[in-house]
Amino acid sequence: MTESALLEVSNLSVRYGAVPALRDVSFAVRAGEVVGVVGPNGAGKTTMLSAIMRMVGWSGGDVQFRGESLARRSPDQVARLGIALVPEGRQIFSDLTVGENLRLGTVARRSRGALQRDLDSVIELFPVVGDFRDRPAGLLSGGQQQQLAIARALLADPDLLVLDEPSLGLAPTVIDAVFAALDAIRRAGRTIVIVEQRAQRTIAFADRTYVLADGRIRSEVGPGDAGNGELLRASYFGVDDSSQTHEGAS
Amino acid sequence: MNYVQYFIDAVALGSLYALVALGIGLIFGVMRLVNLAHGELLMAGGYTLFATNGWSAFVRVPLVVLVVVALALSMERLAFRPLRDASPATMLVMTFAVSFLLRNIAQKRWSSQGKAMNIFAGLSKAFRVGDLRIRYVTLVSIGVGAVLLLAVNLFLYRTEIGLQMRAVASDRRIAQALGVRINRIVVTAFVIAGVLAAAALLLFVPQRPTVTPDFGLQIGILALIGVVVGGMDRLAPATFGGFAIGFANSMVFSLLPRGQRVFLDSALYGLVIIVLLLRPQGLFQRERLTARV
Repeated sequence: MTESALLEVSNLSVRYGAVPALRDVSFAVRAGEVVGVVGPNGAGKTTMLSAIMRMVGWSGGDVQFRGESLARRSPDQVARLGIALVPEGRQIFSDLTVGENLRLGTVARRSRGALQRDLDSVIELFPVVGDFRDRPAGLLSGGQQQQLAIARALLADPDLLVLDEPSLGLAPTVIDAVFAALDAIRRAGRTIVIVEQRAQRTIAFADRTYVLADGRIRSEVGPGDAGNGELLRASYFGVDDSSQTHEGAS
Repeated sequence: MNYVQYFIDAVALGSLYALVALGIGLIFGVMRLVNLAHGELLMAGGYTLFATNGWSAFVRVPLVVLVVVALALSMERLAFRPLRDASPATMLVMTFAVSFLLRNIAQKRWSSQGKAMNIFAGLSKAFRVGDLRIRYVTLVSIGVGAVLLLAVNLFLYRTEIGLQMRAVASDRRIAQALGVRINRIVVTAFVIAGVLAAAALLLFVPQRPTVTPDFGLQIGILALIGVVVGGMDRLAPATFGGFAIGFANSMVFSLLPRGQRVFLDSALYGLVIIVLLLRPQGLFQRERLTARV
């Protein structure tokens, strides 16, 4: 599995000053997979994604993307290598128009070819971004902003789409729409890493899901475990630190 | 009729301060850096004019632009870039130190006595329209100011790198995560700010023909105050703020009785205090559409 991994995170650690935020996290993502990461607030989920994007520095470990270490890369280089982030809380450019936000999504594209095709398919997936192209993005509703954030990331034509809490702060029907869109994206063959506080939904959606707590991976669960509340509780609150740590490979 | 005269002169001075303010605003936008050394760009241009006195204007004008842009880029590369992730206070102290250093170098090299910068002597001449006495430099200032402001606006809104610059000003982290090369954007902003400062310097010459080490400080601080009064967070209000402070400066000067003109600064800063108390968010700042996430 290791040799064919698209993304390989090995013993990744991050500290904020003296406070460890991520400890020895290891996992791998193969091309075409959907991998979930769930965990309580403060578990280190956003830190993990920021570390993969090189938006925060590492205190140890490595991340390889297509076999190449990201250790010496800056965030813009990581983006141009083919990892697109949908940041937590949307973080679209609210002063800019919807269309300008989408154009910024294309900055990291490795080739200008097929841009129109990708734009068409993104608008088909999220009609709202086509309808409101000339509006300031800040005037969109929360759900529409989330769709714009995902659309913007897709326009980079990334090999790996990374989503940080895409359901945060959205109404249940809107969350359904977001997950339906993600399902379409997965069926188009895109590799996805999705980080969520909403465990059950993510576990059911992803091919496999890691439970992160206190900066460590506590366990790995599959879609069949979505209904297993006992297992989740144990993972979230961690009965035994070492025995449940999963290496991700093998 | 006097008031029309005052108004035209005030618009001309306002245009010059708008150019300086736009440069300050651009750099603040992409770096969150309040550059107290911005005025020293004008000072450097001034001494370039002094040192090349007698040369052809066709050489001196590009040379001034070159020197000012080179100084702007050196500031960025040597002093500001290494501190990019430092606290705003640290960056502010750095810009203060750079300003102080440059003024001291100028003082060592050229002393604190004023040096003549004469260029474009013809621009100081005036023509009459009825009771109005209009200097050519007034028209040229307004014209060049308008053209450059329009050009920067077109750059920001019609080009890909302009869009990226607006994105960086809005949220640098996210722009970078989308693939925007921050260094390229920052360097571009410093080049534009340098060109604007050089243009402003050249147009300041007819009315302030001597350069001293403090030449840029006075202009820079006043433009910076204009930026804050207008609203730092966006370029248009910041530029209008620069225009307003230049306009007010000229207007207050004209309206004060001759014997009272020593009170120009008191009157001007009194006005600034009142505006800041009434509209702390900035004179030309709309309420934000949405809070920043």
